[in-house]
Amino acid sequence: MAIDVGLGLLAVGAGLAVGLAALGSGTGQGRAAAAAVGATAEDPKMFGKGLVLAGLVETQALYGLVVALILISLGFGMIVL
Amino acid sequence: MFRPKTMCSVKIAGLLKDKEKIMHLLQKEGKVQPKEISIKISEKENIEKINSKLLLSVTNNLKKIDAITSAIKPQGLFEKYLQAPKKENFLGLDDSSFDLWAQIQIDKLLKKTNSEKQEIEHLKKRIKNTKKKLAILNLLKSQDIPLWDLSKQKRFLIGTAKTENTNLHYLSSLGYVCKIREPKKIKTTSTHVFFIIKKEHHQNALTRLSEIDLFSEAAFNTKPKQAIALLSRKLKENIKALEQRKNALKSLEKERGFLLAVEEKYKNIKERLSSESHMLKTHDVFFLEFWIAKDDIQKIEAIKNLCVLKKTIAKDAPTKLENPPIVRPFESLTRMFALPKYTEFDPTPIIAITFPIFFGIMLTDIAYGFLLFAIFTSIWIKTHNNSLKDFAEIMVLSAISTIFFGFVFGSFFGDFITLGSLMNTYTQPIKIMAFSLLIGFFHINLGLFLKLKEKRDIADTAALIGIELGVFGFMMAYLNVFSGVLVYASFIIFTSSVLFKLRKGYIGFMEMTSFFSSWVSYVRLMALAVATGWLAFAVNLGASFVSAGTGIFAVFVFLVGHAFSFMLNFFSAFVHALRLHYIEFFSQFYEGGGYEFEPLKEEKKFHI
Repeated sequence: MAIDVGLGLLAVGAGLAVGLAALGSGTGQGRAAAAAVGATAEDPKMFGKGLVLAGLVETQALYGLVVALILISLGFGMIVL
Repeated sequence: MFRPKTMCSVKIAGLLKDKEKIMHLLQKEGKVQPKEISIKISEKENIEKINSKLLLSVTNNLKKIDAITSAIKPQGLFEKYLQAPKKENFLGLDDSSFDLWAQIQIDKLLKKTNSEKQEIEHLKKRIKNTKKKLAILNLLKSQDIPLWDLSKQKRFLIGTAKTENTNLHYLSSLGYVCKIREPKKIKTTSTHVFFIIKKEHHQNALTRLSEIDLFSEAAFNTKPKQAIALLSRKLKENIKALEQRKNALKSLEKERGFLLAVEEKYKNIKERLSSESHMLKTHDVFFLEFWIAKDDIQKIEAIKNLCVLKKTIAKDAPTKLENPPIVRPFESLTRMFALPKYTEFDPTPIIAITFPIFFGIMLTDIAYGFLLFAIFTSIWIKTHNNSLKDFAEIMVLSAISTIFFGFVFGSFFGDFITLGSLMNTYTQPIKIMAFSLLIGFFHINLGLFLKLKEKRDIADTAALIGIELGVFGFMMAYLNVFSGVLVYASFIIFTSSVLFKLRKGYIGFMEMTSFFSSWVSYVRLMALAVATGWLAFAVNLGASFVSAGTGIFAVFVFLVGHAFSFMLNFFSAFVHALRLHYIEFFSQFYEGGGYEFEPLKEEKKFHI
């Protein structure tokens, strides 16, 4: 079976994009969520803001996913506009 | 809609003898919020704050009700929210009579609850001690020691204890202590010991026996085996008695409806009496000021016959949102961020449209949509809790949107059933991304438009729109749609940039980048939509691997996997739909910071 090195590297890149972004995002989200839980314990009205602030950090993981999807789409010809 | 209600500040002065009647009328209508008196009176010594003995009694009885309800088995979430007890009838009782009657009932219940609670605690302690004694006696079971013989001599003290290993050497040296069980592990720090001590030595020995547990007289008068039988019988009796007591306490649950009704009535009285703390009174007259919505003034016409009333349109007042019934549940989402100021734009109607759309795009599965619809419709029908009902309504609308976008993206449990679609989550992610950015473009520019409408930072907003137009022009030129626009686009971007620099210095350029990063943030719509699709795909793939063995396991993997995928994507869709509003949309125009209009009202959920 012929292996295209370029495509292989592209797949690795896509994996790294998701993995590293999720790693950083997860670490940050853990801290933000811990602080949000503390804030909500002191003032239940903070629940909404705490929830959003904890979710805010997830953005980087989603961007990682988007980059990976674009890479895979470009590499494997999945772009159908 | 779109603005909080116009409020009036009303001042009233009436005779003290009519105070009760007026306050009852105001509370019944539930349209006014008493506020601090602004009347300036020089002879302050003649003015008194209202103080009530009834308020003290009400507060005490509310505490007693709390003690009773916390002692009775707490209700489960669904039991609490889905069942409403029958309404109690308190008609014909004025506040003082109600208080006297309710206090007698509450005291009776509290006495009964406390006695059952104490007895339960006592029985639990006895059961624990008996079990402890049985555990030690079981160690002596094999040694048929005639304990009663020794105790008859009245010269010995017999018992067992659990003591620290460090004491063992000393106890052995005394000569009248035998170890029952050697410590088997090094980490074990204590050992059971059996001891026979001459009465003349016992004072000295007992000082070294920490945590000593002497047998009861019953054990002394018999052999270990008989003592075990005796204690086992006692243990059974105690467990039976504990069950009976627990059932007796549980039977008090039937009083839940009564307690809720009394608590509700007391809270109504307390609210009215507390609002009287805003009042001023002389020997014959009282003064009160309150907020009321302009439209509601005619609803308190009845008090005009009892007092003098003067109203003025308020410039600054608490916020009372005014939205149609279908939009009203979404007010909770606005409140979760911040309530609009009295004169500020209320974004709730916009959220009522865009939130379900964003949620639907991100969950994007027909089957998940139907599941969500079924769950929250049943909750909406059954619940009597207003907050839960509002949330259920938001979710039902979001479920309809999810079903719609499920058809658009052609997803039913992922790729479980292949459907024709406008945009496919597996093969057309870039197309969905373009769609997401288009939605983001409209949403964020709606924010800018509202900022202009609110006449806030007009120059900045104009500069941002200029930058957008410029970028759009570049795109047109790049795509060769309209290449002549390049010069104009550059000019607009340059002018807008200068405007930012002049207004805010170099830091002003940050606003440009943050605006575009806000727009790019809408790409999460596509990311989550695609993630839902691929997660469902992975579950289906897993189920198809298992189906090679047996169908039941495949069904199990399918159901558990999709339940997990549904939960995960439900939370993600909810949080991110909310975030797109709070961070990206609100940051364009919304400030918030108003304070809620909290009228003096009467709750009648559990009583009439």
